Amino acid sequence: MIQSLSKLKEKESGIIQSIDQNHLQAEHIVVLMDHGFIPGNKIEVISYYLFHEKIIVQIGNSELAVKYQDAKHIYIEV
Amino acid sequence: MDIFSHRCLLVGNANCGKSTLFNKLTGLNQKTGNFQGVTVEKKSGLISKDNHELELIDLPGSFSLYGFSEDRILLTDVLMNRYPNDKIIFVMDPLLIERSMQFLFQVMEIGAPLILVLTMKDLVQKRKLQIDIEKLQKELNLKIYFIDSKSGVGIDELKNALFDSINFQHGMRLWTWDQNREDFLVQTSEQIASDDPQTIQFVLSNSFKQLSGEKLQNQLPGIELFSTETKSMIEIEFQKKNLRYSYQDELVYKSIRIKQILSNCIQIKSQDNSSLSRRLDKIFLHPVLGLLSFLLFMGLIFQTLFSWAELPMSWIEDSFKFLSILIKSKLPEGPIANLLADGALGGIGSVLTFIPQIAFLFLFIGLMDESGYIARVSFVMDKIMGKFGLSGKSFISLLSSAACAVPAIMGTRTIENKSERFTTILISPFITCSARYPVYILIIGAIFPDTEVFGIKIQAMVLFGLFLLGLFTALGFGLLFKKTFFKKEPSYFIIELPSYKIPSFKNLFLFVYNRIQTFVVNTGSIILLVSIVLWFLTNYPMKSVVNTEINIEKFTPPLIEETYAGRFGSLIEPVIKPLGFDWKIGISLLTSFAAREVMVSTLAIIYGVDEADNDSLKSRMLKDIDKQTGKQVWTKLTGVSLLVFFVYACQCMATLAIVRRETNSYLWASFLFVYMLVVAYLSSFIVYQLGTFMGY
Repeated sequence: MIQSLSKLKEKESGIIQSIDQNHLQAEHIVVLMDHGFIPGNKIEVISYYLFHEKIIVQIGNSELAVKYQDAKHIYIEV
Repeated sequence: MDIFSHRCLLVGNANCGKSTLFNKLTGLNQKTGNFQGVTVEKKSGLISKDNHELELIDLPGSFSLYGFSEDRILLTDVLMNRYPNDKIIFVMDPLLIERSMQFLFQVMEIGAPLILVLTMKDLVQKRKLQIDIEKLQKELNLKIYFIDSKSGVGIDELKNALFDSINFQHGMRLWTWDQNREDFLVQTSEQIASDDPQTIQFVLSNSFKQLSGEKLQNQLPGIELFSTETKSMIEIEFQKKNLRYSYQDELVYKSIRIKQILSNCIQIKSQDNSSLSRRLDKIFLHPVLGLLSFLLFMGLIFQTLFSWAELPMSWIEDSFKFLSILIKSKLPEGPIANLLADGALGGIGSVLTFIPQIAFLFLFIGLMDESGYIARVSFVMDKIMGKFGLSGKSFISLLSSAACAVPAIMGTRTIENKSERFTTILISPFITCSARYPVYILIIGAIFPDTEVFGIKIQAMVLFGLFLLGLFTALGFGLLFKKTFFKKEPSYFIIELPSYKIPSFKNLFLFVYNRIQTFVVNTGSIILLVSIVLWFLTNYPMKSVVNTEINIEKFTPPLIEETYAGRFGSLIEPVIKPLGFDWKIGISLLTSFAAREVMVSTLAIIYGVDEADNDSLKSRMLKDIDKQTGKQVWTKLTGVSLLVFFVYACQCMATLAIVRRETNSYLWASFLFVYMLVVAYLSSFIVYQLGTFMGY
């Protein structure tokens, strides 16, 4: 099942499928991909922060924090 | 064995242990500056072996050569325009190997001779990660050195290897596009005559991305490098094929290859998900506990900068005062003795006095950075600071500005985004610094009554009000700059939260030492020069006094109003009169440019009292009557107007010198001075004129 990263619960994981190019700027997508948001990579949600304002995820051995608004446009296969 | 002594370029992701390795290899043989024309820091050092020397250059940490941030452009420029004998040391954190290899693959494609260094050997063993170095070397066709920078394991072997070019292999492309795109790339490259097919493929790959509509940095070689005929051929063939090449797709195909390589070479024996980092983050990233713990830590920094730094600062001041007296006692009375004792020593002393605050602030910044805590600071403060066009890390600089803007502005180097960094630099001087307090205390003490309202002293409320005025103005201008100058600068929120680490004390020492050295050498010279100029303006022209009895002409220091500074005060009096200031305040404004607190000593000289005797000075100030109007000079309105002026004006040459250095631009330093002066003048004008209109 494919859903946006923002819909995953804490400790849920999946495989990154794609990043929506219509809602995020190209340069932003490049920055995300440079940090590991590459289709095929496994991602796990560690926690949400401040009423879902930010989301902390783990990709490989990196822990990354992204905005919840951006996570809505990152698609994961659960 | 080919012995050479040239340059090695250290390349790698941020937080991969590159700087620790750099410090270990170079020791104290290093210097910090800026790359030419940009504000990106350049660290270079020397490694010696058997009468040969090698220059090691620590390039900015990055994830990629793509993108348009100043560091990436600089990095790409250095790598693409490297010297013929330059070698690359690619440094990698094995715990983040999959991500790091994306960047490694990019760097390998440029074809430079390369060595791979894996750091954090101790942590890899703790995390029970097993790396088959032999297999990895074979897969990557590179020599790999596995080291522990902190303990030094493997460093000597690496150091020796750097002096033998046989250890460096030319990088090559290890991944492929999908069948169609790969075939087209190879077929097109075969049509272009060249001795170096690898480089042709690299340039072609960039060219295809350009033809697909991607914007690349100018520093990356693309289609413009080919001759007109070749360029035309490529364009025609590309259009026929109707393919698209993108950096995003490139990352995906590289990722596939990287996973294949790593599956053969790396084994994770056990995974520890409930690590210490996660447990600490439950506190440090908690919405309430995180903010509280951060504010506590900031309070400690504040306390250190305000109180603990005070003692060494006063030692330095007293030492220079003593030296000044000593010089005057040893040298014959005259301009040389005065220049050395007051001008030069005064200037040097004013530079060195900053060292304790700089040292303490950077010790704390270094601790936060080395331990991994600074990323948590960014995370916690981001939302609040972001509203004003600032980074989460800006909070550290703004708070530090309350002690002194000089180290605070130096501390903005931790802010990666250029527009956020520049905004922080441009607004930090509005925060009430410790140098303003002597002036505030004098003027508030003179014009406001020493009484209380609801148990709070009026004078204290005024002082706090001035602090808030500076703070809110700083944040207001932050918002304004976000909507104007830095409007087009994109800022994307993504923060890596590195594992917590015990800081390396050697790294901390070198970090603090470098900052102090940079400040003293680069900024100190400007401060010293301006100090000497100000000394001259406040001591000349000397008065000639002829002793007719013995027919000897003697030169004596003039009254302050007769000096060039005094003449300046009189000259600007018409301009500052609408603010309620007279020529005496004009002189003080000039001299306070050396350091804000100098206004107090200047006023003491003007009113003929001892600088330390505040009560006498206040009394003289309040008794001062304007000879032309017959009215009191120091009215409440004049005092408030001057306080407002002082809140806003950039009366600090040290701040301007450090801004020039950190922005690598006289323009930004000049802009800072002018815009703050305009704000100060207009605010003061409005306060005084409105107050006069209302009958105060």
